[in-house]
Amino acid sequence: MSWFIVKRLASLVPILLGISIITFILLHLIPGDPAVAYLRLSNIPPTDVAVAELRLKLGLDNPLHIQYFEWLGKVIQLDLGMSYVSKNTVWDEILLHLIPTIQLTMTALFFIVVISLPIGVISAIYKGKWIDQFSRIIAYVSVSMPTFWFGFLVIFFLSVKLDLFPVLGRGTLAHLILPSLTLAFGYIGTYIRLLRASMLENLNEPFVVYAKARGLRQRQIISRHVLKKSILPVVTGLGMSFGNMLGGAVIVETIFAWPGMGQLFVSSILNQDYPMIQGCVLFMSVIFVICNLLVDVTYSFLDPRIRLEGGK
Amino acid sequence: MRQQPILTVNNLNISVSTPLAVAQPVREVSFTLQSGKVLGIVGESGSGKTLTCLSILSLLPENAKVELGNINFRNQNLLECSEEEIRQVRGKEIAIIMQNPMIAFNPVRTIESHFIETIRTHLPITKRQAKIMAVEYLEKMDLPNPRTVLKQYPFQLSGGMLQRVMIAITMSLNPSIIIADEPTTALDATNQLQVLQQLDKLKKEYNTGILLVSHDLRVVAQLADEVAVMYGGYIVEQAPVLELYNHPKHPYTRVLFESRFGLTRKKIQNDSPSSTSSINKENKCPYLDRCEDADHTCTNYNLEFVEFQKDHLVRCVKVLESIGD
Repeated sequence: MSWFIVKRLASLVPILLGISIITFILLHLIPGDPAVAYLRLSNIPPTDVAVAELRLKLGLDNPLHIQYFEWLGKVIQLDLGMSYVSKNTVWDEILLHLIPTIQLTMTALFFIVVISLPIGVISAIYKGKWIDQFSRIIAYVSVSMPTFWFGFLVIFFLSVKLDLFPVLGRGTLAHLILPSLTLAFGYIGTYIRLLRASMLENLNEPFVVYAKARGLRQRQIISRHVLKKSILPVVTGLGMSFGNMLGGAVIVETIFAWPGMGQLFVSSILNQDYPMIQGCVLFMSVIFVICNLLVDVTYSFLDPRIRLEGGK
Repeated sequence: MRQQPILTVNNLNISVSTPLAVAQPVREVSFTLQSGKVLGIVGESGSGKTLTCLSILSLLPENAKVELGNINFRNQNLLECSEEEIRQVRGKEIAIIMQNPMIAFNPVRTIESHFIETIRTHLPITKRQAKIMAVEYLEKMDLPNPRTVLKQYPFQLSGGMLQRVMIAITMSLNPSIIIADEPTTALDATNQLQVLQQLDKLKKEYNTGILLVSHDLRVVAQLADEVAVMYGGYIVEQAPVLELYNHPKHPYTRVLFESRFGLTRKKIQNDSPSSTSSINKENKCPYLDRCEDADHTCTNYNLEFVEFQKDHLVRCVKVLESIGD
């Protein structure tokens, strides 16, 4: 098992190298001069002289590969550079924005699990009944409704009309509810359908017939036998979604003015903040790979076939 | 001399709906089972053996339905029981040993959890007590290291071991009837013998009635007291084991024996029985299309299951005719 984890962590090296090279090249394809953006943000008039000086200072005049290796050399020493915009180190900025995002993601994950699991189970048990049809509608709405629209709807009804929750920002627990619900909403449909399909597949397995033949109660069969096996694909999915949400809650964070990674990311792209973008991409990749690793580890605990045969 | 039967199946008819048609894979099946006796049911796949077994405990798949008949167990028609009543019978009174042990266990749960949940569903005892019982019964099944076996997952055991675990689980609740649906089909010869010996022990020591279903005549011959031969959903012949093996009457039974024991090169035609694919309205013989003895009389007569000799029943017009002569 530990060997498996080491192998997976080692695979991070080529992944990160590849990702950083691609981002580096793509960044330099963006039209506009980052030095100009830098000066404008610092309220310095971007005269030709100032721009030239700054380019020299930031090393932007060097050939691309030299720039890359200079950056890489620092990264290996865990120095991600300094943000052009805030003049803070990239690390500080990421840590500052990471905590709100983790908060948001965890709460969203909680909503996804507590909403989609029961609905998925019930709609599999009552397949074809009205409750299954109802869950199908929820699933379609969830998958097809754009996040920003759902976000504005909950703001309009729950905050503005009913005044149940604060509209924007971060602070109390109440601030957390709407953004995380909005973030969760898009995923709920997927997981309802995924769990339902997985349950239905397992409900016809011979082990269910045998469980029935041994006189087990329906409740026992569903929870201990069918659900335990059907949950496996859902766990995989949740792990990937978790990684996705950590990096990709851009829309939700923007709607609710949530000061998380998504916002940091978008603003650094808009400001052509090269070190910030590079740092964010690198950091997100690490998070994503680790999430996948965690999923695989969890998976092996849930599925003895992997733990006992694959983990040797 | 005959004791009161513990299980009586009367005129059982099962239909299965498919998107294209309604088939009737079990027709007019009747038999009785006594304590401490083994009734063997023999037939090719598709002859309705498994559906008959499943219907006894209301375990039929969703698209199958009992159309007619009753199944009496201890003066109670199992087909009219509520879901909860039948649940209490399952495992405790009537237990099933499933066809393929490799897929009958849940792959993500240990043998121990299968064992304990079964015992504790029916008996008011603690986990610890249930575990002691589990070890005890695994030992009776001659499984080495029962404690290790309990901690293992189904995929870590061989088919033969799983089959014995299944029998151990079944025995632990001491049911009056065991339905063994192809208990040896998935096993190799050594394991087959062991499983059969265990079943025999069960019958003798616990006075359990066993319904032994198999397509394998040798398996049935080793264990059964009485044998019913199924074809196309019907029981076509039924007799005590020696009588049937020495004097098979129905043309299908005869072909079955001859082909199985290699006494002849007669070919069994390979087409499937037509009667399983459509409702047999005129009540014609299911074996008509494949029968070598068939002639015009077969289509004219109404088919009945007749006791032409004491305890030897047969469903064939020609056989009855020959006796009448």
